[in-house]
This record gives sequence, structure tokens and C-alpha cells, in this order.
Amino acid sequence: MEELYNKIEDYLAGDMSAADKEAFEQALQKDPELLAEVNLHRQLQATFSDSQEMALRQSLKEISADFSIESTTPPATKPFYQNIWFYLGLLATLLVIYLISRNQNLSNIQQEDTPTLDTLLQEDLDTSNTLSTIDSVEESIPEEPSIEEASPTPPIPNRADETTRDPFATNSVLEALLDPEVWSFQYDFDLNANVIELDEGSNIVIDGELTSTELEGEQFTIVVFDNQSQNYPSSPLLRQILRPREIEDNQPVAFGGKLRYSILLDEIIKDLEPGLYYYQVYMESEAEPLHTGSFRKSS
Amino acid sequence: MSKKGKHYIDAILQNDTRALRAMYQEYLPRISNFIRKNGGREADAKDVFQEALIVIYKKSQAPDFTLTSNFYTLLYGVCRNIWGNQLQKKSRTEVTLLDDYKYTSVPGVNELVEQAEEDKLFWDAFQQLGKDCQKLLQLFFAKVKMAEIVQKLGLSSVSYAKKKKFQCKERLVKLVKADQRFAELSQKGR
Repeated sequence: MEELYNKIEDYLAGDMSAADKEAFEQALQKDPELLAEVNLHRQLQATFSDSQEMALRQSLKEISADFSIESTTPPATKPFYQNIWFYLGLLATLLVIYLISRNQNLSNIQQEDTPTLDTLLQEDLDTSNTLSTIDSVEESIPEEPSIEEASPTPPIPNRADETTRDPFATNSVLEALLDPEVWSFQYDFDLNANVIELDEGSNIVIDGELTSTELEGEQFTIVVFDNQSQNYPSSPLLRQILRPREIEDNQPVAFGGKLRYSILLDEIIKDLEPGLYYYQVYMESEAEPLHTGSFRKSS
Repeated sequence: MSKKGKHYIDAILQNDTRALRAMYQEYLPRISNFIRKNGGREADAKDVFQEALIVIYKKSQAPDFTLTSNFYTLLYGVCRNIWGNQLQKKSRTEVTLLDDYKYTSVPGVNELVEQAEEDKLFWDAFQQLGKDCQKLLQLFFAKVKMAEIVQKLGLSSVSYAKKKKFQCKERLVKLVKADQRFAELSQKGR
């Protein structure tokens, strides 16, 4: 594969002898797959060659992330985000007021329930009815306002809906990230994942080693997903902070003075369905996973 | 060209983050209104907005480019085009957009929009790579010499850098191929 890539790159760069070039072009005519591969490499080269455009994309991505809150009513006259914070603040205040008043209502009812309710329900209620009335009083308090409900958006067809619900089907995006090879230059994970059935639920154990330059209190997050594409990356099953422990008697590994750390995730999930699962290790505050792995729970 | 229009075009060409931020503040809510009116969400609006700025970047690089309308008219036209295309892909019937702005069509944008969709697919895959791979590939695609890449990234040797380059590129290719949009694009033929 590596040779093929080098060949394609040499061909695209015009970095081939006349004889090699002719042979390669003949192969291209006979092999549509090779042609598709060459075209893809050409497109990638064209897309990423403009470093100015790459820098602009990076800036736009960062700026865009600052405008990250769902807006329901953005008035065009004021700065966008200030309004959002204003609404969120208002919402929080209302919520607090509502919770306080609700607590007071409830405690009022509990402390003085006999007189108040008696006057309300004098005629036809015995004590057991009074209790159920308290319940319904609580239920009738309006739900807190939700941001999402305030903006009904027409449903748009979601790509994920078309994928299968088969819990053992592979998730193509996550599969593409699986790789036993070193993925980051700095962090090399060697992890194993197992599911052990216990009475309390399914015990997920992911353990192994991380080889890295010295970690200075850095934290990692490990996230577990099922195989359904609509859940990646927004809806993990599990998210845990990992604190790698330095392995004692550590000798620096190879050049660069790398050290070995042990890593362990040990969590019980109730009612874990049989299926294919994926896990990813993230560095704090980084969006890209450092490591991706998978495991199965058999049926 | 209006002064403000020129200011914003310059911001795009020179990657002036302060001015770009101001542009987001001024126009994103309006574009977002338009997108949401037409079946999209806030996240769609941000994607479309970002792609539109890239399209404008490419368009304004042409030596004969001058901004003939005001900047928002150009931006709205490009966003409208991008979102219309995306909706059309999901629908079998002709899509009609609800406009909230007097719309004039922008000449010569269609091709760039198609290109932008392809670029977006590649860019999304690129974003899933690790930071180190991104840096390495960025230099590689910009045709920086391997020896220089080794120096810039503090790698141990040229052969190591080459191996990494291959691994990173292979992963990028895998991610692109795993994306459903790639299958759609290949089916459409080129």
C-alpha cells in the first residue's frame, strides 16, 4: 500500500521516468480502481494544497465554535451571543424562582395541609383522598420551559436513519479510525477491552498501557459508543476521566525519553445490549480522538 | 465596491480573524433565520455560512473579481445556493426556498458551490485526524520538503516522517471513503 501511494504521488507530481510513466498510464487504463484511487489523491492534493485556504478554514472553525448556542430568537440589532446569554440567564432565573416556589408550595402543603386542603375540599374528601390530591397538585405545576421546544424545526431527513439497526453492524466512520499502528506521535496506546457479565450488570474493563513523553498531570477522557451512527460522536453510552498511572521501575523507552503508564477503565453498565461497541480516548480539550478501539458483547 | 464590502473581502483574503468575527456577528443570525425557515438547524446554518465564506474566498481570488453588489447580497446568494443544493439532494421534487431577502442570482457561483461540497467532505475527514497528522499532511500537501517537515515538527528522521505521512494519508483516504457523501459523489460520476 505504501508503495502504491508513493507511486501515485510521484505520478501526480510528474516525478517519474518516461518509461515508468508510460507503464503506469497503461495500468491506469486497464484498472478502473487504480484510476479512482489516483483521482482521489489528485483531489486531496488540490483541496489541501492552498495553505492560505487551510488557515482560513481553521479560523472559521474556531470562530464558528464561539457561536455555538442554539438561537431561538436572534434580534439582528444586538450582538448575537449577548442576547443568548441574556435569555439563558433569564431562563435560569425563572427556573430557580420556580424551584424555590415549588419547594415552598410543597412544604406549605406538607406543614399546613390539613387546614388548607380542608377548606378547599371540605365536603367530600376523606384522608386518603387528600394524599392523592397533594400528588396531583405537584403534577399540575407547569414544566420548566425548554429551549429546544421553543424552536420547532421541520424534520429533515437524517442520513443516520438509513443505516441499519443491527447492533453488530460495523460503523464505517469509527472503523476507519481503528488502527493498531501508532496514531499520534506522542501517545501510543496499547489497550484491551473486555465485557464481563456480573449480577449487577455488564462490567466493561478497558486496560493496558500508554507510552508517552512524561505526562504532567494530563488527563484523558475515555468515551464508549454503541455502533449506531446517529450516536457518534454526540451521544456516548459512557464518559469517564482517565488518570494514567506511571508504571514503577520505569525505564525511558527508545529515544525521546518516553515512559509507560497503566490505564484502566472499570465500569458497570446495567442492561448493556449485546452488540458491537467502540471506545475512544481523548485528551482534555482536544476534539480529535487519540485512540479508537472496539469490543463486542456477544448475545 | 462599497467600503464595507471591500473590508470584508479583505478580511477573507487576509484571514483577519477580528473582522471575520464581526462578520459572523453581523450576518450569521440573518443566514441562520433563512436556513431555519427552510428546514435547517443552527448547526446547518453554521456549516453553510462557513462554506459560503470559502466559496467567496475562491471567487475573490480571481484577478478579474470585483464586488458588484453589496457584501450581504453576495453572501446570501451563495448561502442560498449551497443550502438549495443540499435540500435538492434529499428531495425528489423541485425544492422551493422561502426567501427573506431580495435575492439576485450571483453569476459563476454554481461550479464553486459544487466544488465546495466536495471540499467539505475532504475537510470533515481531515478534521477527524489527530493534530499531528493534520500538521504533517498540511505541510506535505503544501509541498514542503520532507527534510524541512522533519525540522519543523521535530521528528526523528526523514524515513520516519515518510512513514507517518503514509499512515496519516491512508487514514484520511479511509475516512473519505467511509463517508456516505463520497459514494454519492462517485456515483454521480465526474
